[in-house]
Amino acid sequence: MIVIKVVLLFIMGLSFGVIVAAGVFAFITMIGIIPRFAARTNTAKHILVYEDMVIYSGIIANTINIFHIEVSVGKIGLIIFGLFSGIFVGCLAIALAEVLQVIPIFFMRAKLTKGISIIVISIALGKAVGAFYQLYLNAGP
Amino acid sequence: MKETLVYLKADKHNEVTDKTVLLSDIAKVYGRNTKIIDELKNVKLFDIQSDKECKYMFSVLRVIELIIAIYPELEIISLGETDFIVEYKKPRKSKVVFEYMKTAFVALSIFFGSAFSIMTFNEDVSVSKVFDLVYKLVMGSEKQGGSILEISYSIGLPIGIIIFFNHFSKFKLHNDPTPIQIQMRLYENDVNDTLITDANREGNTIDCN
Repeated sequence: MIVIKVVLLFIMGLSFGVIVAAGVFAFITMIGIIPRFAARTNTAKHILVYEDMVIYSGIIANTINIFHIEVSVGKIGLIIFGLFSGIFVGCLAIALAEVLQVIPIFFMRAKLTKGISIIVISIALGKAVGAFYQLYLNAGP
Repeated sequence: MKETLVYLKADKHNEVTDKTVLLSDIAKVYGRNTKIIDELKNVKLFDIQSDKECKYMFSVLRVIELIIAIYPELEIISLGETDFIVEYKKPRKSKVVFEYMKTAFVALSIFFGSAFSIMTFNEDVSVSKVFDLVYKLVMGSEKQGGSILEISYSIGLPIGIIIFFNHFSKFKLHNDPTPIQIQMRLYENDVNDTLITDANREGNTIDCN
């Protein structure tokens, strides 16, 4: 009886993983930040490397996260993780707004034709200040 | 098929390194009279004035106009794009080191970014709480520490990723392009379409921006 239960648990865990992976990574792919990174840096021919990165990172990070594995990387590791994940999340946040076409609709409604660069800089600064306040100043003891 | 009939198929995006843009740089030409076709391929469309790298929007009508001016008897049928982009790139040695640095930078962003995404997902939907619940449901007792559920989840996730991306490193499941390759193509198409539409709207097709 216990065997059946364990097998059932195993199958459930397996399918949780498969479906979650499909969902989370479809989201990362379809939001279109990776093609944008590649286009901006003119490195479209290395697109498979980028895809590999998503694959490895998904597997490694999930294992670390689920099993609460301790990874001692020190301050420099923290800075690297913070900086690069920050870049990614910044792009993700704007990409989300873009998919929902918030910015073009806003421009059309407000009948703005110039100053797109100012708006973009304002968005970036606003997000930076907001994140700094929320995560650093408001972090508590 | 008449001798004077010429078929023209222009590509949407054309890269040139030479400042003199010939018809063969931007389109494939076919016709019965091979002599005329060979001459046509070397018809000069325009000279790139700028020394910088830039993009020109070009209309196939202009191409036909230029050809008719030289060969008035020809009949031209365009089967390809009606508007297309000519991108001038300076002939230069590629800076390999710089390119690898850029690739490494992007790769790191994607690596840590995806790590961040899956972790925020796991925390956001409280995967560990759901595991506790499922464990109790199936086994009838509280979960103590790690269980088969965590292990199988961590096996299932890579399987899902590999099924979705359709490859693992060099090993490929099918010959289809991968999702990110498709996204890359879609993105390039969107950029080209936007450039062409904008140029048409502002009336500076052919002009450099």
